[in-house]
Amino acid sequence: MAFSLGGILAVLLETFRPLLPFFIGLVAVDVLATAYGLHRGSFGHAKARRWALIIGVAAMVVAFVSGPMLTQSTFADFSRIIDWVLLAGMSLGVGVAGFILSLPLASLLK
Amino acid sequence: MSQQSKSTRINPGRRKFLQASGLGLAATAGGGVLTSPSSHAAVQTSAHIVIVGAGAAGLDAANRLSRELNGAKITIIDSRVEHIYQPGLTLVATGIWKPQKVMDQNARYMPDGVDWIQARVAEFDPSANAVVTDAGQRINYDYLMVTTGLQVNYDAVEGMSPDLIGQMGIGCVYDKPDYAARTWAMIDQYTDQGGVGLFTRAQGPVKCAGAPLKVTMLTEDLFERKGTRDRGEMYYTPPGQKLFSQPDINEFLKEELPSRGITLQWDHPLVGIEPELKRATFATPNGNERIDYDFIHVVPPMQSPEPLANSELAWQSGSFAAGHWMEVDQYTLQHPRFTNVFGSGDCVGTPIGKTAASVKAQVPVAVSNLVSSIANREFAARYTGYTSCPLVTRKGEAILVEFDYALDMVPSFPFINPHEKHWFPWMLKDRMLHSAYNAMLRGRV
Repeated sequence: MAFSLGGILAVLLETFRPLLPFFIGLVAVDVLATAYGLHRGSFGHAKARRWALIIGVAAMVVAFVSGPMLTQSTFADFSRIIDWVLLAGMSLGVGVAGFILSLPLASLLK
Repeated sequence: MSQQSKSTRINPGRRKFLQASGLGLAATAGGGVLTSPSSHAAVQTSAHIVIVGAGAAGLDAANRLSRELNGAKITIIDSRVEHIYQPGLTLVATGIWKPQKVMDQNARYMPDGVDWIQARVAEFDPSANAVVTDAGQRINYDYLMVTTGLQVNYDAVEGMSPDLIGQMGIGCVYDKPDYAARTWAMIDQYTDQGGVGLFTRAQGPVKCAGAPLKVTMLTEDLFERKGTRDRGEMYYTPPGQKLFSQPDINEFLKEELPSRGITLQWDHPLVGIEPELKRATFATPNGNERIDYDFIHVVPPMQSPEPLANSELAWQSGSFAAGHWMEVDQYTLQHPRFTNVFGSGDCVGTPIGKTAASVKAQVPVAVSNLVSSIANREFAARYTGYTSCPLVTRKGEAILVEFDYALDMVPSFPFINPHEKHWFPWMLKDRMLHSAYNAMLRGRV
């Protein structure tokens, strides 16, 4: 059964619905921080990118390591290459999200 | 018994806020594509559509119809306030999930502007285009969507009663989180103490036909995890010569279960239990056979709910007449004799179905064809028989089985092999399918 993009987004929305207030708050803070950074001309400076990258990589590693635990399983249950590839892909997604969401706040650092 | 029915018109205020906040997130990711899943503009009509049942199929249908019709009066009839995520019951019954995880509220998914009559339908009168509630209220309709779900016939197993679940070694995964939780108490005890375990499967169509197999394999896995496997003597007792309708999976299971020390007892339909003696009776081709047990997983026969079974909407002949399933064309989901009546979900008599995944595939078809009927259009949607079962073989391992009427595998994700057990399908079952189910209730997948 094919899933449409709308369907996939709807599933993601349901997955994160309990955390929606947190995400909305975080995005709002990010928007404000981005606007402030752009106004000051300091958005995305080198130090901010470095910190955001560190946070993104940390988020990716945590997601990778805790992925099996969050599903009440262990790496011993990974019996196919595709399991590793998909976990790596999901962790990369978490890492990218961590980078994007932390960059505006990191830009506030001097 | 008469019961006062309560009619509720859903207040859009809070929901509008939640939708707005949800759409904000979605718009961030994908340009707000959630707002228009239908390929057609809403059809203008003053028709009155009655939906009987606010389970998965009923809520999905209500949400879709409310978006695809403009000006229609939509009424949904169901006395149940709580909503149960039934695909999670196997995980509750095997101690992996807490019962609270499968509990929800129907009100969270009711679309705006729908009249919710909190009563049960006691009578279907399709010749007069009407249903009658248990409070005596007669409700006329122009179109009817039947999504009642099904009825578990505990009485069909002599000596069995739902009150026995959780006592004297008796479990049953179906119907209610409470039953699943009580089943877990019995399985937990059984995997500590061991003894003879009988894992039954009723004759005829049952909801989530993979559930009895999953309970069996997860119990065996639990024995292994506890280090008590040598204490348990496990038997799986199908009523015929088959374990699963999809042939590849049937062959897989015929090897998998014996390889894990689970003995297959073919042609063993359960017909009775003697709870005090812990003894089960099976009507085998060689006559009744009695087997003593320490734990038994009872899967009673199932049928459509009595008001539907006793109505003209039920199959009058053929293989589906035994369970009094609702008669529908298996492709259009339209009733062949009452053409303003459509059905979907567990109550319909189709060759494949009775899973949440079937609901996901059936409801868009039934709704599309109902809307086409209102708009005098040709039916464009056909149900292919799609169903899916994340066949959990152990905690942390599953096979994502998806197939159709032809029993061909129809995988949604080309990168997942439907013949191999591994972690990713387990992750879907444990983490993602509940979200997909909730999105389905909102008519979004």
